[in-house]
Amino acid sequence: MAMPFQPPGGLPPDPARAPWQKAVPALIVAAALCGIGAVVAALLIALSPQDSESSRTSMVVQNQPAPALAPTVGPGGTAAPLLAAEPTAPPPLPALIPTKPIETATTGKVRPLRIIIPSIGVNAAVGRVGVEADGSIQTPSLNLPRMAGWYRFGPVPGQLGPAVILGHVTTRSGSAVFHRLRELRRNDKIRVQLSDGTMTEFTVDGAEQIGKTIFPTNRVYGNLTNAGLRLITCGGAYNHKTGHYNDNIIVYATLTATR
Amino acid sequence: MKTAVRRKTAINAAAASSLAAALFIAVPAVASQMSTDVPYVCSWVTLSPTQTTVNGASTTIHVPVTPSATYYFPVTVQAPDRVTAGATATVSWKISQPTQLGEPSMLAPSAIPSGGAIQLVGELEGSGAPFAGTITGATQSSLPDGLVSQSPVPLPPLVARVMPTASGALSLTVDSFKVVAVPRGVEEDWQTCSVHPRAAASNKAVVVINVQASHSPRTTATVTATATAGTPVPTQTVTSTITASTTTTATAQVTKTPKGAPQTGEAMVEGPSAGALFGGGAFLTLLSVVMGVVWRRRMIKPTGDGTPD
Repeated sequence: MAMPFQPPGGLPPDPARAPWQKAVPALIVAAALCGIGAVVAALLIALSPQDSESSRTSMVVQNQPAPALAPTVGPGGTAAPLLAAEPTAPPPLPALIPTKPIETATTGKVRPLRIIIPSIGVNAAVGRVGVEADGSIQTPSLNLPRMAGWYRFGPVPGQLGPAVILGHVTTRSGSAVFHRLRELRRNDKIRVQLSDGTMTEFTVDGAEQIGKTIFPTNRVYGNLTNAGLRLITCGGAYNHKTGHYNDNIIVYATLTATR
Repeated sequence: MKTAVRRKTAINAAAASSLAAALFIAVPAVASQMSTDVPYVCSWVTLSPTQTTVNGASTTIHVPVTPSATYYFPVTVQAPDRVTAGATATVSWKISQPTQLGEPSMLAPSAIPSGGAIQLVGELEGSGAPFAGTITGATQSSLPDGLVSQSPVPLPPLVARVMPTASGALSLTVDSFKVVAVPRGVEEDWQTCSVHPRAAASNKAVVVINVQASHSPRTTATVTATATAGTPVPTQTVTSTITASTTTTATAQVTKTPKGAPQTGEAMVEGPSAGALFGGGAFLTLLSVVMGVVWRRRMIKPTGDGTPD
């Protein structure tokens, strides 16, 4: 089929050209843009700092020597790697003078609604979790990666004792509510809003990353003489054989204000 | 005579019973907090210029001296009324600058630049069956605006944790402390303070914790009073048993302790690797360039007769 000559400057559209022929330039430009975008994205991925959890999702750690256990729970933060404390060590000392726990007269009626951690950008709803049939603690639904879970067989945050809130670090869809929990350090603030309108404020005392095989049950769930809070998520390397992370990251905090 | 002795013995027994009751019931109710002005003797090391003669010539050398001063610091100490043996108790105390008119404050001997800090290291002296020894607490308070020389030194609050190992009354006395300046990360001891050796008992900050046995739900105190009033009156023994009704067993604050560790993570679905993305993107870009060139050549082919090949 004969095609008329078209100068670069363009001529009035040739009515004889098929519509698909008119779309070819646009398709070529779109393909070029997609290609350039993919290259830029690849460069960004390659040059971005590696994420501690996601970069390890395909790693299987076996037969590694157990790291030395610290005598006490450390202050946390990103300046130094998180260490595990001796399982028999007590919880870290309060960073500030603890405030009086809230009254317990409303036990059973009050529950936490939201958790707010400004330093790591967390502002999430809090659901309730209990225990599984095998006695292990339940975790929030994987379909709600931005939701944390309060352990309902422990104190309400602000009451006397160790309140426990846990959340996922990652789900199949990506990072989850406690993805940056490992960044918390001593003196950081954690606020928990209760259903009766009370806003409790906790101050971080310390944090640790400890293997799940030596999980410090007494340190986390043991009785306290003040109102404490424990935030728990997973950390360390992901083990494809077990389908779980090898470690837990635990943040210890103490009630220092209510309003 | 016998009647008088019996009456006296009964009075003694009642007094002893009251004392025991006070130990087991009354003490925990008042042991939570105490505030008082405590006299402290604080000393520091400084260099004093001294004239001396070296090789016949008079010169000035600086000799380290340790002057001291007495301050009346208001001290508040706080601890839980009662704990269970084996559990940890948090004790907090605050040493403040003197507030009474005319009493000198502890002043900064030199300035601390902004970003520096003041560190306070304090000791509690424990006595009693549950714990005997020294407990140390340390707090560092940052100074965003720095500290001017000869201004009152801010004294941050102190916290320590103690784990009594046996039941009984644990007495904790606020003891010596040390003020450390941390200008630009380098620690420098400023003053070391200890309770004045002649301080009265009422001028010491003391808090008492009632430590209860972890497995004994009921505490029983047995008080025996014996009275002997001359011979040949036989010795009579009265035994009174007091059961502390306020004693409670340690109730678990977490009513159901889960087993094992939480499984709070799931592997993310891995996307394409950076290399594959880069290769695909580069291929797509090159393909579009080639296609563009071909398309353009096809559209502008100048064959002279205006018709393509």
